[in-house]
Amino acid sequence: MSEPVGLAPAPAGSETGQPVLAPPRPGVHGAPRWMWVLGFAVVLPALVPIGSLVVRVFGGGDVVIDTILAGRTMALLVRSIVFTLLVTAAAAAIGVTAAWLLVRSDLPGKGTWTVLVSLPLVIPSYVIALALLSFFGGRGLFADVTGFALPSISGGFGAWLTLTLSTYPYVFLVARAAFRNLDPAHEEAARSLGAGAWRAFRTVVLPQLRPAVAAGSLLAALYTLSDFGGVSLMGFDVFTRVIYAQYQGRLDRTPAAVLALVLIALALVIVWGEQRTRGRAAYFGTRPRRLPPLVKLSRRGRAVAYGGLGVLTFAGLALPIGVLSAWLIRGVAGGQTIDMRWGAVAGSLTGSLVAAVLAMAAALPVVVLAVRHPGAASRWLRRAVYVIFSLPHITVALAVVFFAANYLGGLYQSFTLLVLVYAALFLAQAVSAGEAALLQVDPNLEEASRGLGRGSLATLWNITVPLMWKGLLVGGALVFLTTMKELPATLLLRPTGFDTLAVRVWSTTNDLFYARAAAPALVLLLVSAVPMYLLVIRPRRAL
Amino acid sequence: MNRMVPPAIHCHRLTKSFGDAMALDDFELEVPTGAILALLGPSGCGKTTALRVVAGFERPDRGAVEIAGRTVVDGTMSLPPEQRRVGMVFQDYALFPHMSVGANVAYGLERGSDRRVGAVLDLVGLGGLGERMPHELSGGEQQRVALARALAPEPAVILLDEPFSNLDATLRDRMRRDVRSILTEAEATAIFVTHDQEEALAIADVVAVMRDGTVQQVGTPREIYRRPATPWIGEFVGESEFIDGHADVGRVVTSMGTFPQFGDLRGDVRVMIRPEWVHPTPATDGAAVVVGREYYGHDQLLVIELADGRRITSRIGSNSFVSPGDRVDIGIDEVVVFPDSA
Repeated sequence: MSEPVGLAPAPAGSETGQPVLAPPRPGVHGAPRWMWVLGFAVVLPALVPIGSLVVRVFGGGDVVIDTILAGRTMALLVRSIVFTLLVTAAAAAIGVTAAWLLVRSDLPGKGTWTVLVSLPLVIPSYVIALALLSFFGGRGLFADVTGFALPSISGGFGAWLTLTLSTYPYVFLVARAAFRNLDPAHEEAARSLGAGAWRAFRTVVLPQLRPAVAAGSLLAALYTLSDFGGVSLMGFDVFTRVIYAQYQGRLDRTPAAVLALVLIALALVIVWGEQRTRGRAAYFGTRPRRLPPLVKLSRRGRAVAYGGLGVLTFAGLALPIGVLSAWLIRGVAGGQTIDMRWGAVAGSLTGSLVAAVLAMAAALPVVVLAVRHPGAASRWLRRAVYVIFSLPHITVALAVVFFAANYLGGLYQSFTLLVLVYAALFLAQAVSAGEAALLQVDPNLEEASRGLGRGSLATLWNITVPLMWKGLLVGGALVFLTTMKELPATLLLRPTGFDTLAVRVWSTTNDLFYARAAAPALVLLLVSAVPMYLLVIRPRRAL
Repeated sequence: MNRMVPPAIHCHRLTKSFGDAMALDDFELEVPTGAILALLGPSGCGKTTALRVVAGFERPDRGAVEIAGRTVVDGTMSLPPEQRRVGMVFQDYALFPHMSVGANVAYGLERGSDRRVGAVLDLVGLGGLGERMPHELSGGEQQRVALARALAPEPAVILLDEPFSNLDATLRDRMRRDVRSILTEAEATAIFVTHDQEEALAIADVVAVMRDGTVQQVGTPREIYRRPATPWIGEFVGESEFIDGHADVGRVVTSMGTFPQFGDLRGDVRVMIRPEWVHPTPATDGAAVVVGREYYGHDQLLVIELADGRRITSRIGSNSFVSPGDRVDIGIDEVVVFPDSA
């Protein structure tokens, strides 16, 4: 199964097929049994609710068949697929073009643009939707200020715009790394063999970018398929929104379960499809010794590039922040007290923090098994982690709701269950960052420790963990940030009275109280942006 | 050389700098058609830049390049690489990783040139491997594919950038011989860049020694080794020792004897001696004594201390029974004389 990229600083270039820094090396001895037990103990429970969902659906009888075959379901399936394709295509086109401009062209100010273009990564889709909704239209901010009403934005187009702005940074970051890893000698070889600049780009550069673009597009597609907040606020019915409505509105929850299972199948098909695009080629090569010469843009080309990047930055970054700030300022100026629920801040922080710590702890055995003890078992373990990560949150949450309601009465709608689900959903981020860190730890150090008489647990604790600590921490920080933004699982699983910033933004926007959504949304962005910059964007710039 | 045939390559007064660093400084070079020329120099001397300017990957600040009599770059124009008829073999081969060997070789050819692809693969000894992917080949095979790909469109000249530096020592020797015979059989003109003097002398018909962005001497391997133009070249292309001497008409006088000189230097000079030109003869009353030995098997290197305490090395056959402690007389075959200022 494919690994998520762009979410964690993956092992150098592993997504673009570049070799990782040090080859994984099996330990001399097999892993101790307690580590295997631990590794499966953290992963298997996450799979059980999904298994029980399958059982429930297939035991459901006629309702199941009816739901699947209903014309509405088929229409929903088609609409979700088309929507995902349109968003992914737009995200891929924007991401690759921006990456080319900011790596290969001579555009001035590339460093600043790179940060600006990557930053929408920290803005949740529902905040972008909130900004678009409350800026356009007759009641919008623009109409309020200028007296001139822009056409309102909602429905399919609004959802497409929202998701495209939310997902292109994934493609951008991966494509950017791939452009930088390309060996310029390939292009030069093509040119000296008689190919013009365009033919060389089309036949040599693009095919080598394919794995990276496919990986980035996979992330964009899964994000789109999984998105709940953005499409809901835009009032666009795709799977996630319909599942939520079915769950909320009906006594019989079987249709929701059926739809969730169809959505899971769709996500798995997409992951499988991305695997299929990887051809037989192997993209070896160390990092190129030099960067290729920059392509000179004409004056017109430069103007077009600035225009495009400007529109992108405006819509994806300036608009959300500007609109939120404007609402907040107007609210304060208008004498409103800032509607800040401190409970939501506390809920977001504690939930995310606990989830991050849990994910770091759970990642450790998985990482050690995957890197130090490669084999069929550890490969499956790892694969399970990534499959869970690729599933839409609402489907996992729904499976957990059913399972807990039936079998875990005490845990149902408890804080414990909520953070466990968070940790399981985002475990892949912690694993990916931890693997990158462990790959850089020389296994000889562990062997030396064993040779000096320390057992495997003591070695893990005294040698391995201290050396890979920073990587685990990066993974934990990523889990923290992703949990802060999480919406659908929180809505389904939160204990009564438990509130998060994401839930506040969503519910106030849903009720069209845009001004009240401003404060929690801004706090959410502030809390996310600083560590995200430190962890993801800054290290990537150094690549 | 036939006067009517233009040189395959003529670089005229090329200058190219990167920031403050002068990579090419009035670089002048002519490569006769059909020759294999080694561009030899220490790393950072600008030799790879020269190759890239010829290929069209860099544009010179000043100067011109002609390929087969046609100007490809000068102060007013620059042909793009694809119009220059230059085949390039890159240091790490740059095989397209997503194409088969056959597709790599066919890249520079018209559609439907399967026969040519097969012929070139046969030429480099890889007949039948066209379906393989580059990563399925060994280093030596990859290099052959790179060479086949460059040769396939029958370019006016083949450029090879440090072609053997990525191979291990055993393979390197074989690939040197094979590449030379492939290039000869294809009747190709070639320039290859190297920092390895042994490699340059062994493969090339003509060696151009480069330093600080300029060509300092062009000649056959024999000329370069035995008649280096400067002491620096003499040291760069082989082991050497320098002693002081005094020249007058036709001869030069040194502490190790008097030698003929072919130039017309006068006054103080520097005299260069290579170890294999020094012959010790065992003699109980010899003026010198052997003080050290490195035994290599195919030959041996002796360190000999002269009467005045100066030391000199001598390379002799490994069958010779001279041992450390033996007294010897020294005979010297030939020397190279440089003006003192050089």
